[in-house]
Amino acid sequence: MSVTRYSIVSFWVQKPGEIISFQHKIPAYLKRCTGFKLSLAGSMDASLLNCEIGRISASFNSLKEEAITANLIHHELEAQDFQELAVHLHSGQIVSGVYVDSLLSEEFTPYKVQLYLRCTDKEGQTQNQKGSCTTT
Amino acid sequence: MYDHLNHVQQQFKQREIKIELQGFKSVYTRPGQLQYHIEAYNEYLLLTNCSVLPVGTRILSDTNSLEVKKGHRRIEALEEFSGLVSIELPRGTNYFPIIEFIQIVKE
Repeated sequence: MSVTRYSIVSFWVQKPGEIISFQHKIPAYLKRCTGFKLSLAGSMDASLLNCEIGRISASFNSLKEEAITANLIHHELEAQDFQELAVHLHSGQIVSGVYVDSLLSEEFTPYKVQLYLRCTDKEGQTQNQKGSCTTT
Repeated sequence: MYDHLNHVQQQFKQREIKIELQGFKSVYTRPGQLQYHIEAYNEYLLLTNCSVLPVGTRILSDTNSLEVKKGHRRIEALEEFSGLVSIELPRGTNYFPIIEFIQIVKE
């Protein structure tokens, strides 16, 4: 029986235009990442509804696979599903990336970004499956 | 001081990225233009002279982004960019540097 685990990379954005780099280690027993979701935590001005808040990119397996490029959009309801990802994980390697805030509003309020990574310990069909690039 | 080119060769080998071409790319900035765009698809640009860029310069790309701060004057690490690379000099700057990159074209 396989298990699915969710890793959360979270960080606070404190000022407009801020650039935040992150590194994260996925537990070594997980073999594949099958999805990701980018979400916003905290309140955001209503005038920014459906606007792009920022942009994230992330690579897996210690910079070997660029797999995520996505925009964070402020939605009224947090109903965004996971987007598909197909990355075979090398044990113990790092996920690294960068988030860039794209708000130019003068009425900026700090907010929290959460990147959820859905990973499984089940091997894929192909051992050397390469990551696919997913763009929102 | 470490050898940038040696570091690049070693790191790309670690990442299992084969190099087709290793060269240099320069962006000549000039008064009256604060934004510059470079296409670096299927290649990598490694910034080599971050220490001379005006504080507040932003370099945004598909894979990495950087805002130059005072502390960068003392850092020797190479920042790597790929995809569409946008360079934004800070408003009000009166210094227009040549921005130098090591260009890596992968196989």
